[in-house]
Amino acid sequence: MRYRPFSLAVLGASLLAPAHAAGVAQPGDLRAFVLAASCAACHGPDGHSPGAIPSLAGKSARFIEFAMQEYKSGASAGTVMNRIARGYSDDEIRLIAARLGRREEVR
Amino acid sequence: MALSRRALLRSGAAVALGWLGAGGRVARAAGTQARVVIVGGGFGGATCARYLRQLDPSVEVTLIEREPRYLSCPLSNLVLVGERTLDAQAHGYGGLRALGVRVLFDTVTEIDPVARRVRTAGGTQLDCDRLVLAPGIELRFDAIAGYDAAAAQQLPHAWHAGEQTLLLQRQLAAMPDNGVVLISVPAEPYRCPPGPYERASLIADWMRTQRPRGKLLILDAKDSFTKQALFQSAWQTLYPGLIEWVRGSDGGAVERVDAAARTLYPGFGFNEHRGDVVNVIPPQRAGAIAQRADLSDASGWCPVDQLSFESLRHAGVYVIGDAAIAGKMPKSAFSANSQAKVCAAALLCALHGQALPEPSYANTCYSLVARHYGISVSAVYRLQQGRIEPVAGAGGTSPLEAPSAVRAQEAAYAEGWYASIMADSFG
Repeated sequence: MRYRPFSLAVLGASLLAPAHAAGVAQPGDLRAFVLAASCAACHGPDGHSPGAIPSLAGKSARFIEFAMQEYKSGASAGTVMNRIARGYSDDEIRLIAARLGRREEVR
Repeated sequence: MALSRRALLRSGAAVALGWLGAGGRVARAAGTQARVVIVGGGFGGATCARYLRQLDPSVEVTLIEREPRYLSCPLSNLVLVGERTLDAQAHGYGGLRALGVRVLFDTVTEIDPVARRVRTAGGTQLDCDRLVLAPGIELRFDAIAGYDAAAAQQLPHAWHAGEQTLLLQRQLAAMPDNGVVLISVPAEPYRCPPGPYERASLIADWMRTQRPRGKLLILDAKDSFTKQALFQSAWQTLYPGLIEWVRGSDGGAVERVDAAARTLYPGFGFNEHRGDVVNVIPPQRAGAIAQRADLSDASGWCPVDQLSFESLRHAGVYVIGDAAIAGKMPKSAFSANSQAKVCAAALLCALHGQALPEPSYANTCYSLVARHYGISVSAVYRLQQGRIEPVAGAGGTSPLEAPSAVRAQEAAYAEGWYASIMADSFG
């Protein structure tokens, strides 16, 4: 058996990876990590903001993607988020949301 | 299955299976760990150490830092005017240790960038597979005639948080009623581009009530500066007539100082300026150890592959943060934190023989124009033709016209950002 040298299982140890991450290895994991890692500088590690900036922890992937798109289009008015959201493609926003967001699973 | 796989990868057994050596780029005996040594425990170094350990706990990460207590620069302008204590700027390294980072408090005296060997004043010698330097800046005491380390005891720079911050704070507190404050600002690149103007703003905010007959003069080597329209419009509203900005071509570029006389001399043909409190922010270059390690070029900064932050001068050695030449990214805590994450991913790819992912970088710089008046500039960056460039159509500054509630919110976010980035960088 051969391991993908870089598997999501490895990345699963990351604070940024939500609890569901210990799953199937997928290509582009590191790409999603690098994209989403930028968010932590303001929103805190693992989306847990200790200060005035809203936390992302516990938000669903669908919510994060929707909010980013609203900022990108200007439908929502933020402070810095409109300027930041315009820097990402729709695919990149999906990757970020999937990485940071809670997956809506059937319980 | 996934869990047992992860457990296996965490253990040395994974190395024995060969995955660490998959690309053949790191030769080491089976069963040993990949070793990364990071020199410098500021925002760049700490973030890199933290993310390396989070992404791959099998990597042995050693961080060497001189001071057991890190004093951060962001928000330190509030310390100058008594709105914040220096202790509030202090952070320890317990969070990194908890993640398994070996933290060594020592001074690096010698780096062999070819052998990737580090020696410290304490007599430790460390060899590693990959070496990361995050040495920050060195203030140039050879750039302005008369401005050396001794002169900085009279005309503080306060561009490293600590004693210098407290010295400038004491000088301000002792300033006479009609005192004149001078701030000398260098040409770019330098650490924290909006920092001098935030400093001028917060000092003016304090003077407005404490020294209302005083004046503040900014002598700038540049002809324009970041968030200029926002700063200047706020100055006009909040501190009319208090702050005067002199641009480089009008005699703002200071060439010589007389420390004893607290006087700054611009070039030929321009008047000198005498102040009661004189803050000289001198030109800068990469931290001294980067220069001794042959990682800087004639500019004084370190050229790197902007995809990975690997030095263009020595393979296997990486430079991140203020010391690195990182395209259009400003030298800021946020940039260093962002670069450190891209670098951590690149380090793991190098150690595991993987192709690098397409990078993504970001920066946001908040500035306080008054205690409850914040403005920001932000950008998302991509690699374009090997250079880090801002994404067109994105980023930019706060709007020039905005209600005070928006300014107050950005001021609150400035402190919120600080809380988040400290947690993200230091744990």
